[in-house]
Amino acid sequence: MSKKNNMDINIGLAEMLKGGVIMDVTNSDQAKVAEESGAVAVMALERIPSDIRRDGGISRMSDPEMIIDIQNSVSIPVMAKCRIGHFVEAQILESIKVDFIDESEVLTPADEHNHIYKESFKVPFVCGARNLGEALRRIGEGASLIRTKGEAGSGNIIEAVRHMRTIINDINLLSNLDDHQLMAESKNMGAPFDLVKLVSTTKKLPVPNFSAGGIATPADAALMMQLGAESVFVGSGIFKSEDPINRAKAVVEATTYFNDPDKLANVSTGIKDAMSGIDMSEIPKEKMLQNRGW
Amino acid sequence: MHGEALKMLNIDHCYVKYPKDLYSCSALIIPGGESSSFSKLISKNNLLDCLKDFAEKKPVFGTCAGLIILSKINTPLVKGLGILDIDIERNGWGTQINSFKHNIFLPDQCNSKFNAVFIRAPRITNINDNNIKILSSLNGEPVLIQKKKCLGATFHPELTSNLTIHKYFIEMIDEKIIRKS
Repeated sequence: MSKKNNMDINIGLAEMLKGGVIMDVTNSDQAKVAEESGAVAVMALERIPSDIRRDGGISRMSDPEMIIDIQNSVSIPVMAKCRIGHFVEAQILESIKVDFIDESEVLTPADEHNHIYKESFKVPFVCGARNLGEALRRIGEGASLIRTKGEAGSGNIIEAVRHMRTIINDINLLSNLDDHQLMAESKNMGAPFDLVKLVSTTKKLPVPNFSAGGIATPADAALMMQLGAESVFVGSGIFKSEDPINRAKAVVEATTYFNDPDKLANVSTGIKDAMSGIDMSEIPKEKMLQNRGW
Repeated sequence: MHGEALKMLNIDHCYVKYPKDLYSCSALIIPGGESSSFSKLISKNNLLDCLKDFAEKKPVFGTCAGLIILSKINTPLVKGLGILDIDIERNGWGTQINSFKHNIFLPDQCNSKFNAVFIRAPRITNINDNNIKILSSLNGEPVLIQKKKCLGATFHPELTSNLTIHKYFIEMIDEKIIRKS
């Protein structure tokens, strides 16, 4: 069966993850902590983004053994990352039946021009985006879920905010254009015309839109939700902090009660230090993960 | 997504996050998602007793993970409300790649087919209460069940445009109760 027949089932799974937190984990113990804390899914990866950033080198799809170990230890969906354009890594991840594949800029890209043609897979894909054009290109290739990229492993929320605001602004702009202007705008943003047309009428992405890349505190998670994210991915923010279990629980509650300042004050109280974080001026442009992807 | 189905039926709705949210509701839908995550938030935010209390008096509909929450399940990760005495297996069909759509038959509701979407769906392995009616089955396994004003589906009726099951649920609401969000 081709992915096309499965698109509504796959977007359906993305719908079920709304309002929740997806946590990066590197082993089954961390996966269990995530599940017990109330995560709606885990992302299995060998090194969390802040370590990838520190260690350098080429980062690739994780060893299937480690992913299978995590699948066997939790009941919630298990996602895993493949490199941009590396469709064989995606085939392997589909073969071991992960619930979602993240074609991710956090890993070293395998193709500098092409992303994976995701419609040829049955398993759903999530992809990162910095703006509406990028989001619609990925959806055009068959992604069932978009996450704004932010800057993974930075512990700095500024890029996640920038990307979420950009996508929302782009959608607003599109909905104000008349039909005669849509083709030019489609060309301008490099996005498929039918999807540009669709978004101009529905005023939203045709798949859920989550946030990722830099969320370190319960307040960060709630900020992204108030800005319009439908769920959050937390990578280094949990297991690079001093007290992962309590931070994980607090981020889950903050994501559910994102509109309740009293609750947010309460869950933000008494958790030990967050990961330290990096200012954007300290990351040279060529080291920015968000610029991977085309 | 349930909200959109209710909107099509001209029914006001709100999201329940606090016990006080239930006071203004005539009926409750517990949606899909991850039952382990729901269970954590329900117990942490003092919703368990008031949800049980609500379900004894008013119509409740659990879909997928929502049905798991209505059951008597009691594991370290998920504690159900105990409204429906059924044995239920989480992710009974496997991972997302085993998710599927299948036509089911709704004899009493419309005498017609319903395209049901099963996403990492649970399986009802046993029904331990004679008062639970099976409204629809798939290959001999119950997928839509009812006990008085409590309705449970292992699939996602909100992901199809067919509103039959939502209409059936709304009809359970006592007409004397004013509907408001």
